[in-house]
Amino acid sequence: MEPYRQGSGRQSSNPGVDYAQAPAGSVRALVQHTDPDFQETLAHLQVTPPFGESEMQALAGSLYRCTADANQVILGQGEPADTCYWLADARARLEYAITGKPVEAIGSVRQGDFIGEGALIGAEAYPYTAAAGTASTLFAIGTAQFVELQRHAPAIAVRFLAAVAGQQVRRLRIDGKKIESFANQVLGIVAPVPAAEAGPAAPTALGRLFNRLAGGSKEEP
Amino acid sequence: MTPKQIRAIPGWEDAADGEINNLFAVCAERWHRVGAMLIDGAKPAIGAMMIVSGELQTMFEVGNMALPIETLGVGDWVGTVSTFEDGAELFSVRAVTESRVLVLTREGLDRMKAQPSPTSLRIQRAIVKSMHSSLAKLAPLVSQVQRLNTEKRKHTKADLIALGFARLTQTAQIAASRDGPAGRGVELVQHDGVAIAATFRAMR
Repeated sequence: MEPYRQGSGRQSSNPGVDYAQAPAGSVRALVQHTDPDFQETLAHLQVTPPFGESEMQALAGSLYRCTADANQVILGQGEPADTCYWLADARARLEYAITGKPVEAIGSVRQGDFIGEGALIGAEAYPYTAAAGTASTLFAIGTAQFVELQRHAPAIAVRFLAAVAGQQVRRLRIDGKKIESFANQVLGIVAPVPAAEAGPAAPTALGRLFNRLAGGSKEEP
Repeated sequence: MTPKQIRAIPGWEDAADGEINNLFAVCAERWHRVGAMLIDGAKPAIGAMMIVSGELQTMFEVGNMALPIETLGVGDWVGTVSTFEDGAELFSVRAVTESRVLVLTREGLDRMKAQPSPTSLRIQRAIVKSMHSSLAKLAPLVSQVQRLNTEKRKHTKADLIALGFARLTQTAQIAASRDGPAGRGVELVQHDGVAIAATFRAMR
């Protein structure tokens, strides 16, 4: 296990670019849009409207295929955010380190999820550490590649960012619920049951009487 | 609101007139007094809101306690959680200073996704940036909560205070009350969409 850096989590050892997948004579487009991993990972995004053939080609052409070993740190908290990873066949855990305290796992991500999305919007540093849970395949897109994608194919970039935003929403909800349920537990507040799960209220004797006076059926459910 | 005011917003400095007109076409402008609650965390927001002027505070409100998350300024977005996905917003948002926002409804957002344009790209980038910032602010809090949950002892209010929770002031509690005057500090300055006007009337 690598040592933790003070207050900034573990240092990443960048996932290796899988050059074996590169088409002959190409050093740029390491991913083909016909790649089954790419197709499967894209299916997890639920992009609306779906990407056309040429759009998939353009997106795949901006990506690099990477691999990471189990427990390898993919990106480190506090490191410059220069690459966004899209998990193709992977599970990873997110960790957060506070100086002088043990590192805590704050979440997990799986196939189709993004990590390090700050690289797409010019964030300075990664806010957490991500470590591969198993031997993993990832697609990577660098800040420069995404800038290029925005310039040449803004329609793809918009939908890609919308998919990223959708995942951020889910993560915010999960994080929020963790804090909310802790606070509810401390304050002794019973969280309200969502209306859909609550079902109809059981009729009381008085309710049944009013129902009969109002001309309702005498038969009880 | 003028194009000059929009160009003063970070990320919109080089926006063309056409882009700004597109923004005005899908957004409604709202003005909020100091202390007004723009979003009740227990309910869905009426739309995603871009701060045009002033400062907003996002916080968790649980019972009579509140946990401030971050103070947001010009160019930041709030209300994105419930605009992207059904359900409550979770985070309450209050005006720290007199504030002006542009509201983008879910319908407007869907339209922008369906018809990508430089305006929608700019908006999506800013939304992702704001949510990235919120996630970064939440990470240490979640980490502390996880640690507290592993401790085998009864947790008290002191733990909440150590986490950053504070007691809501009486005024804030009245404003936060579901039956209270929340939203009265809000005035519709101008709108360009039927949907927004209808939602606004329903809230009043």
